[in-house]
Amino acid sequence: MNMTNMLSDVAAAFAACVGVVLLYLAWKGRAKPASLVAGWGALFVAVVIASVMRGDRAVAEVLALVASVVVLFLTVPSILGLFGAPSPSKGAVKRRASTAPAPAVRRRSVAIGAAVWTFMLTGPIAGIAAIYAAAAFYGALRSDAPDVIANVGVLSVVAGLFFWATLTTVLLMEPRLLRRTIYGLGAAGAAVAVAFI
Amino acid sequence: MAKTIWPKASSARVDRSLSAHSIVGLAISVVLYVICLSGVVAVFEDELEWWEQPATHAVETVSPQGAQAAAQAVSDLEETRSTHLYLYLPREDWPRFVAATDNHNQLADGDGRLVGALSAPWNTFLIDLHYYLHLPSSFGMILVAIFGVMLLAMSVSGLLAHPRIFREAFRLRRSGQARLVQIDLHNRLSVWTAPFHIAIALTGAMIGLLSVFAFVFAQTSHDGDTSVLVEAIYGAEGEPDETPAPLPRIDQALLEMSDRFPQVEPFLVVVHEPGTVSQELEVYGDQADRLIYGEIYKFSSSGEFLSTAGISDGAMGTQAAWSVYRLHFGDFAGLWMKVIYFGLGGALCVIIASGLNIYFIKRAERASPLPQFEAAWSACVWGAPALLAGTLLASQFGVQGGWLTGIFWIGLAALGLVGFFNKDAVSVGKVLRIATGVVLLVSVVVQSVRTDIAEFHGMTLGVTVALTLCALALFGREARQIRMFSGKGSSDESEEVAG
Repeated sequence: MNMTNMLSDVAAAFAACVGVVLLYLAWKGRAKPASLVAGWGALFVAVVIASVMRGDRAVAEVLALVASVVVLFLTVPSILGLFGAPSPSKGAVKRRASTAPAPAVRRRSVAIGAAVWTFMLTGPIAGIAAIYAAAAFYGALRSDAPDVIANVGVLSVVAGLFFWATLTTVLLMEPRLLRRTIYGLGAAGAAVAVAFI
Repeated sequence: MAKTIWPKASSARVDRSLSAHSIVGLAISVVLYVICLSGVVAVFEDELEWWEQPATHAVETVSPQGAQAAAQAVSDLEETRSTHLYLYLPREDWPRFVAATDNHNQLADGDGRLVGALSAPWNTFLIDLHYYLHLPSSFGMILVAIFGVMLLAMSVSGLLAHPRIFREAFRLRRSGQARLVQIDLHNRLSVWTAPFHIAIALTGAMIGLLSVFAFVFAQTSHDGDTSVLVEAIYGAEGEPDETPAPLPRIDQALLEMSDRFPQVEPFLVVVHEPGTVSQELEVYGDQADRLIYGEIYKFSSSGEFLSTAGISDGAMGTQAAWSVYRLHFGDFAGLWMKVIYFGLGGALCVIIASGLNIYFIKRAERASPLPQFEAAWSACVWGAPALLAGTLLASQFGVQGGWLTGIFWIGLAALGLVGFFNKDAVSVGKVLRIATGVVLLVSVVVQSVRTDIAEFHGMTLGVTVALTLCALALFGREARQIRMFSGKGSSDESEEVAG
């Protein structure tokens, strides 16, 4: 690595650490927008320096560095507790004796059945919906050029994975099983139909 | 605290997001934890592989003639023709030389002489655990990838359930009500490592599910031809012609690489269909500032440069797909990035463990505790690392293959049952932590006794020190806990939180 790259790495790492510290001070200081803006600004500068000087690999390094700095900052006191430093108390759990009656067998069977069906909806069926929705997206945008196929293909896969994750979440957010079923099966049916158009 | 700029979220939406988050977490935590834990350890697979076979001399450089000799030697070992031949060349952070075909993995010296088989059964066990959960590879990889999608779902639902994400950015209560302590730990680590675990989940899902997507895309857009998308991203292999031919001139290709592209460091040589007329010679060169796996330099059988594959400057989709490997495995900035990935992956394991801890604490506070399941979960959280250590020790005494798989999975189930019937999550965790420390220390002692001091390379010494420190850290934690709580009885109404 040449001197220029080394200096840019140091500058990006420094800007990232400064950004984290400023955000922490903003959080602690209550309503200090200057620190907040400066903190995000410093992080942005770090990413820009890394990207311009050393490409996408350096951007990944900066982001990983930021995450690890904060994780260390948050967890070092707990880790130090392993070696004789004041160990944080984990806190007590106040447990109350259970007074709830056991559920009836029939209600439990229905609940188990609903849980299994929910698993099917939010797992395989949501997956089918997502993959075929991605296929529909791919089919709508692709051309015969290999570059376009590669771009649209990868974009469709990424979009499909996020759609699967989001659909799973949305289905589980729906409290009523009937509506959840309609949404899940409807999404899968619509996606398959559109993909084959 | 800074005022939030996040739009005000309805409490109903937050509650439903939290419910969704909890449901997915309950369903997948055990297997997801095993996948993440094995991934954390596998960050150091190169170093652990060397530690398993320490009597391997470092190889800093390989001459082009040495590369050719190694290729010929490993090819001669094959009884039937291999479909691929690989030469893993030494790198700065990996001073080894490995020649491989379909059925042989051989260590070689700088002159290309084969010095013995690459044998690392525990490393193979670990990789198969993380990639496939020890299931048949095609099915297992898809299943692991689906867990990656579920981890993405956890991220989505978790973020939706966290309206005060900025206001609570640095809050971490370390004492007081156990539920709040665990929630703060869970939320803070989740938010700050979100770019990491979203990237890991997404890239893992892509690795495992790309073939499924390609199959479906083929059915809907390419009349069933699955090669269109794959070849657009990864390039096409030529038509096979099995007429025998001498191996390609790898030595000439490496010489031409150093002449034409002196700034590029080659790290891998691949020959498709070696020993046939249709063989294709590729040299992978490291692209220092890029996340892509490498640029492919194509050569003719006589070692003449033909072209590059265009990965570094080709379509964005191709570049993104080729970046998935390094991004997922943290293999892009040397040892320090591996250490960071180890730490962030460990944080993900803590997030998963604390998530289920929160559930059990809430149940206890609502007067519907599940001590059996809480103890079983503690057995899983601390039993999995204990079993990884146990299988490592077993492999040092010749146990390998399916036996290691059986020890791990049957052991995990057995420990879960022990925890279930024991019902004491705290003591189960304590015993397993001590057991992990003991087993790690024994493993280190066994390896040290067996290894000639002259064969202690820096890498093996580093692993020895790291494993010893892990063991001492576990002992130190437990010794301190025993000193703190000696002479204190436990109250009927309050208990220490496990893990």
